[in-house]
Amino acid sequence: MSPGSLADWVRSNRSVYIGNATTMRDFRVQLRGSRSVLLFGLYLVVLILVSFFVYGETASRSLSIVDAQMQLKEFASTVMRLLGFTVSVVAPGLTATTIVMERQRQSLDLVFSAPVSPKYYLVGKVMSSFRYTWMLLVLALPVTAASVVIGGASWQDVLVAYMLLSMQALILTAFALLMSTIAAKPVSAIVWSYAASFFYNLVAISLASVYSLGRMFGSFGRGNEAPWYVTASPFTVLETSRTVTMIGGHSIPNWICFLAVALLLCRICLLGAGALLSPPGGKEIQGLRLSALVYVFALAIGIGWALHPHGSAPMTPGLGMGTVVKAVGADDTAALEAGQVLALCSGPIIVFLPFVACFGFDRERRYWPNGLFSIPRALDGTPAGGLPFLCAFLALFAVGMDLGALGGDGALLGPPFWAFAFYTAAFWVLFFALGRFVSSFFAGLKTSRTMLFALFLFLVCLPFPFLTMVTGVNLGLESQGPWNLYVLAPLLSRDSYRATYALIFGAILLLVALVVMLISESRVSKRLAVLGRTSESTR
Amino acid sequence: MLEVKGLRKEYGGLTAVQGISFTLKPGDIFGFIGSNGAGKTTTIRMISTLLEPTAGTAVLNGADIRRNPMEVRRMLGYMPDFFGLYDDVKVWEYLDFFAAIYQVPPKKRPEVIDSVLELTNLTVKKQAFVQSLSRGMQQRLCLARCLVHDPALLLLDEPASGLDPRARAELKELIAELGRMGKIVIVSSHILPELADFCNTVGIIERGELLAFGPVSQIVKDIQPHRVFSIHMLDHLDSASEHAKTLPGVSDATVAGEHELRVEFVGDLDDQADLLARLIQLGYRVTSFREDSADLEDVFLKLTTGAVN
Ligand SMILES: Nc1ncnc2c1ncn2[C@@H]1O[C@H](COP(=O)(O)OP(=O)(O)OP(=O)(O)O)[C@@H](O)[C@H]1O
Ligand SMILES: [Mg+2]
Repeated sequence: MSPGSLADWVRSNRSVYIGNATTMRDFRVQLRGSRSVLLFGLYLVVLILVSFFVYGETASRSLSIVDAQMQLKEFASTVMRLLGFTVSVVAPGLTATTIVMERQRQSLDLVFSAPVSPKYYLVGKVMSSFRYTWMLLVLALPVTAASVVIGGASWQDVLVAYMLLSMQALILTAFALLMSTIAAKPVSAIVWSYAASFFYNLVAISLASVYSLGRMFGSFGRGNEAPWYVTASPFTVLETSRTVTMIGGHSIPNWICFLAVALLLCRICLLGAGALLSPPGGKEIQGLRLSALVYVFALAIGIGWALHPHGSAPMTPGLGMGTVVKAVGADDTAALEAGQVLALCSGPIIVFLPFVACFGFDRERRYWPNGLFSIPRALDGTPAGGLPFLCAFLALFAVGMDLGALGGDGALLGPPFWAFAFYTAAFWVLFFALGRFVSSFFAGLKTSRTMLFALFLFLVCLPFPFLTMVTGVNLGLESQGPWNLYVLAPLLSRDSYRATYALIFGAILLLVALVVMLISESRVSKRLAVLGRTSESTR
Repeated sequence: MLEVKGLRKEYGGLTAVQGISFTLKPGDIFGFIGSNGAGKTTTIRMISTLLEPTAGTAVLNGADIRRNPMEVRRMLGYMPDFFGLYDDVKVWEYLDFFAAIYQVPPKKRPEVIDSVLELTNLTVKKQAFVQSLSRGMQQRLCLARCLVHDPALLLLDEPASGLDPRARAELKELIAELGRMGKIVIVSSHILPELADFCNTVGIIERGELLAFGPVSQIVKDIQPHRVFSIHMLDHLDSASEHAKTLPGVSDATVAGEHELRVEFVGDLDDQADLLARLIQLGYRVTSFREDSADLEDVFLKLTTGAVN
């Protein structure tokens, strides 16, 4: 990079983060008039009232010193929990409507006919709602300061807790912004943003409670040591503010790890939103897909390494799936378990698969079928690049886990792992093929995406309660009968032949995928012939 | 200099714009005329880089809309046919926002805002909230917004819709002024006569095809090789029409009313002067003699069938 282009880069980035026009305008609006003063006043009053009430509860009982200490701690935590609640409610609500409202109001065109990149605009939006959430946190400082003064927490705890809260706010804001970009109506944007917030909290809280349960029974963690993800929950910021992770003999404060993760998550969400706002082939979608590949590789290495820490017995710390992947005497337990973890962890692919697999019309943009498999297009967002991208994603996932295992255990994973990798790939390729199939009806991009998602629910989630009803709850036990026909059978199975199941299932799924793909390709080419045009292979 | 080269847009099976090409130079005011669904908005949005063309491209002062959209955006101002304004924003803040995203240096912004407000006659509304402006004022504010960065090309999609006659006249004057400042202005409309008097170039689009392109007089001549004169006289219309048919340049003459004679004319200005002189010489008592220019509307209707894809 030449000094000139570096200077350009610095300048363009500076203009994005400093004096961003979008932020400035939003901020003027947010602080306009008596409404904001009223809101802030009300917020403070509620906060103070609640803390007085809680404090009164605490102080009214006469207790021993130790008990009083505990109660004060409890008071500080309650205040922080209140702030965590504020963050999870305010951040999505503030952000959810931003983009979808502008689209409805038709003012988005005015902005994008100016030399504005989606990045500039989106970062501006994030900063404006983030700043507002931050103001609420700062306004609460007197109350949190009170808890320091009366001795429930230390200044350092409070600062770190604030840091964690603001990172959680950042994540929720980024989620909401993504929802706002995807949604067509403000109401659905709000609903989805809150759903995302709820889901985030659910995952974060259950991760944190898995940890604290584990700690209660003394199974893992010494002193302040804790996995980094305990800091993700907005409701336990004060308790987790001092935790650390041991990495290579150094103790790294967890809030630093969480900071890094939050920034990465935010980046992924913004890239996703940017890719939706810019035409296919834009640099946003390339950035998004490249980042996805890099992150999944890194994540896979981490998972592989965590499963095999330095020759000790395999375990899945806090992943909450210990029961599912428990080893039952097979020759290569480690590889089998790693394979099942791979298959399970690939689950979130369903979130983005509809965007990768489906094509059709979307308002004014067009994702027109331009072939089935084209490696040069893997990153450009056109339908031909979907399958190569999916394959690369899964390959990096599997290779990453294997490398992680090599780093942790000193040995590569055996064939059973690769049998599961094959099964996982076949599973997703099948759903990719289904995505192309539903798209071949040309009922619109949105419809196809929804149909694919519905198919997933129908084929994967629905049979679960149904089969449970038929055979009773003891899923996966040497079960015969209907469970063996279920797509996830190899994943749930605990017997020693599960690698073989995985291979057989993988082969069947792949075969079905090929048939579905052939059918949909012939439908697409027929349809294109009817439209009097050929599939656009070059642009 | 704006060169539009074979711009084409397909929406699935429907071709909204079928490969249109034209060239405009600085100072040109281009009237873009077509009925509903003819493809005006689609063309303008493609030039403004908001919509990706299926084929073809446009080049503005050397910058290509497909390869270098950011460069093009810096040079153009786009006023959509429908647009929303932000709530809770004041007029000057609104302009300040756009000046900022067009990278006008902060020090110059107040000056720029004042001058575009002056130009669009909105100075008194500087501190008003945008949602309190009337439709016509909002229209002018949007135009002011397009001018903050002194663009080389202005794309105005039906700027006159919703304006009263007086505001229309002011808008025309403003657009003519922008043309004199050396900008390329593209104005779309449904109505040809509305544009005819201040555009120096007109294009008529129908079903996504550019049916005619060129100066107004040229187009009128192409469509209607003869001009029509309406001559009013007090009496003897029948013999006057017989006489008129024998004169040079006259292709046909009919009696259109009690006192009106309509003459279809293909001659030049000399013939035109002679026509009037001869009629008077022959003793007809002429009360008025004028060219029937209301025919622009007819020209448009004749060219376009009004059918939409
Ligand atoms: N997003 C879209 N999806 C599908 N078809 C579209 C879309 N936008 C426009 N069209 C079609 O393209 C054609 C041209 O539309 P366009 O908006 O360019 O017309 P227009 O000349 O601006 O009409 P009007 O005078 O009504 O504004 C129409 O037939 C319209 O139905
Ligand atoms: Mg239009």
